[in-house]
Amino acid sequence: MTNTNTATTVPEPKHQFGAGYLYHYHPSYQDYAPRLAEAGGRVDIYEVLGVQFNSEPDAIETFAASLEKPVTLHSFEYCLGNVQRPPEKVTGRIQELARRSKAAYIGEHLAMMGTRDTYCGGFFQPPGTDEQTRVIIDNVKAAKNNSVCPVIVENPSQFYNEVGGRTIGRQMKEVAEAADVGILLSLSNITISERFRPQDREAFLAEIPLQRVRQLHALCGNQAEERMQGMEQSRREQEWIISMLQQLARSPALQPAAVIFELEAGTPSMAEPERLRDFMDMARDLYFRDGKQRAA
Amino acid sequence: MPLEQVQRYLTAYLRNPEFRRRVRGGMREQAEREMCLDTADTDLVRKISLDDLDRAAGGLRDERQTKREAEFKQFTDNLACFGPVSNFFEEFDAEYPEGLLSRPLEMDRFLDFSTKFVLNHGLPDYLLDLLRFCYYYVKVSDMPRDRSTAVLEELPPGGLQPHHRLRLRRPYRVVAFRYDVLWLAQSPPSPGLAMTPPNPTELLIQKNWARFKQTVALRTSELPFYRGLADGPASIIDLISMGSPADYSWAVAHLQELFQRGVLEVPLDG
Repeated sequence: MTNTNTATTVPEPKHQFGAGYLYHYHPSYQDYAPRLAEAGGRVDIYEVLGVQFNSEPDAIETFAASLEKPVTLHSFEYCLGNVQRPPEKVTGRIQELARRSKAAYIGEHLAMMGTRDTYCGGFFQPPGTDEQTRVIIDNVKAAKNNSVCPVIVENPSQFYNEVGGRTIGRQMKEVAEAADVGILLSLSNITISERFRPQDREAFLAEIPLQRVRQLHALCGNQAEERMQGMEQSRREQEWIISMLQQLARSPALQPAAVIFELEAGTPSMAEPERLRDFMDMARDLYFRDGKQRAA
Repeated sequence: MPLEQVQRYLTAYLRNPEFRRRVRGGMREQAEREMCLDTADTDLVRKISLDDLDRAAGGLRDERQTKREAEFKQFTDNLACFGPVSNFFEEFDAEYPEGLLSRPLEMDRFLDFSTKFVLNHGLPDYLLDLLRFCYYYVKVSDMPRDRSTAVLEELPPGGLQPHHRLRLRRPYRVVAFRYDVLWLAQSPPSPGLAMTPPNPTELLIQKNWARFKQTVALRTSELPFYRGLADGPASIIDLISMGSPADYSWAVAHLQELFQRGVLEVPLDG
């Protein structure tokens, strides 16, 4: 029986891919991949950053093909939180990259980027007002309705005290449901909030409709560096990330399409290949083993 | 639309140190009027903690610095020998409080600002060579591979033959420097490098097709046949004919090595 209730409908992509990592188009990642393979690392899906191919879009085609696995494209240039829309050539370029890479989906930031002519410098937390939320919903719908693949929206870090009547979590929920899109739940971005305005993590996560989460983002830092003096915060955040992955997996509503690890977000150096291997295996065991998979 | 003004205000606060100073320094109402905020907008933005916004602005500036340091590493490492780089970046950030932050735009801004900074502060001119080296190195690495014509993908069984036409693989730039900038870039940063005598050097800065976002930099003086290739494709026999026949084997081996390294290619366009 078809479930037409958008509050409980699982948005696209419905296919489950598995575990993977953010593969930067950079020589260090080019060197890392064979080391990961040698360590026995198994990747089900890769995330790639669209902006790294803006100057050479043809490269994404050969790069994606060389990975021999599905790809999810990450972007920020839709500027979903902005009132002023980016030029069509910018969104056209994102779509071209998605087409060339045969991206399974596009992950976009639910963030204010600035104005059409001036970027604010980061993926900034939008105010929680009615008007801002409507703008985001309209922008997401427009992006989704003109996309070669599904669009999912990522939670921003918290930069300032929540104003406008909505929390970040509530705004995410309203946008995802009104636009009927999936959510990219970034546990990494929650930890980044610590540098600016520490987030009430439990309260935020409690507001996220887990059945809409299509992708989980998580840090995978360098274990040796985490053990160094002065890196206690990084170690604690990594422990929190693992704990949350385990805790969230207990919710039957949460059946993500992919769990993606980021290798440099928590420590200066990339994670050891063995660690990434183990984290991906853990994610598969938590979210993609037979008993956990969604019925066809 | 009121939200548009709020976003302009927040963007200005995050990007513009002078705007922040005015808001913090008793000119808040004037700044709000400049941004055409109405009463509801003003109420909203005044609910946002300025301490939080200041922290965010600092974090975003640090990210901007980190990106530029990665692109211009040899320049900023050596600049640090002559003064605090943090001060330099604060001035750079304040000089460009508007505009998009794409890499091509930021690199051009950084080149402009850094050139003027070195000259205005009377800093050693070898820094300008390092600046230009970093600039071209990254710019070329971002350029798309030129696949406009079909090329020989592998060496034929008998190796390259006299009739094979060779050309420099594109994209590339040939840049003249006042110093041996490759040697400078590979030397540990030190104020002593300011005593380095000029040594005019020309570099072929070429995109590395085998490595993501990387470039190869070669001294043209170490490429004996560079002059023959500078104007376009040339056959092997034409390239080596000015030299001694005794050097033929060596010359072909050298050109073949450059082909295998991806520096040269053989176009198949007749």
